[in-house]
Amino acid sequence: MRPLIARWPVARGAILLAALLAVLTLAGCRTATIGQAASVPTKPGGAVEVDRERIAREATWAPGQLRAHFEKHGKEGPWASESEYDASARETIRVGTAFTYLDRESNAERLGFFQKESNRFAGVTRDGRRITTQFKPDRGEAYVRGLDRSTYR
Amino acid sequence: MARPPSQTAERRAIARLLRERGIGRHALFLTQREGAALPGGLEAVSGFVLDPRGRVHGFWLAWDDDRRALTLAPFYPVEDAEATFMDDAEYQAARRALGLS
Repeated sequence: MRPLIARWPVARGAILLAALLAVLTLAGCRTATIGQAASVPTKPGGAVEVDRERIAREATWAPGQLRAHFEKHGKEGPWASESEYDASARETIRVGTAFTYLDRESNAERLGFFQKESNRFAGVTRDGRRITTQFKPDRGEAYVRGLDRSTYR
Repeated sequence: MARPPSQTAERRAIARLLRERGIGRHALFLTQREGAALPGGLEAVSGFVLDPRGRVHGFWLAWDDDRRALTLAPFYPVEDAEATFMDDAEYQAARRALGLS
């Protein structure tokens, strides 16, 4: 007697389709796992898990960047000095909603921190070593949500 | 590791302004959009550029009101870039992109 799968083309097709879907699903999971392994862990809802206290305490500005950022963004605060601006950036890291986004010029993933109440946005490198900016975006929440691959929700 | 960057309008503007300063081939790192709108639909960008000689400059893509043109201001050299950015993954990626390491 021939096996059921050989006698019923429809059943055979369904089994092959299910197997194909299983393979594709597994392949998709594998890709996501690889990608996430190099990224910051993301919780449901887009928030990310980071040691924000360590970042706020230890992250540094690259040479010349604190001065440049204070000169460009200082009046938005108002922040009266570079040290006030720097302290504000670190507070934003401590209290803001954490998320990830993609820097479009370098295609590097960044950590973002946004405090809605004060409309402050701070960016740091993925490893939390460098503060890349802090400013008050004109469009507030819509700005951080609109950043490339932003996980802000 | 960062993927090859796409050619945004900001990147093209930065590349043109770097060429005007004698920097052709280059790699950007630690870049960041700064929220400020510039004429032409561009956005201010800060960051660093590495050139094939290993020199690093900090820059800010901005608008020069007097010249009514895009500019890199400030634009400043970083001394001893290798030591300064030794632990920055993006700097190391930039060095690899230019074949410096």
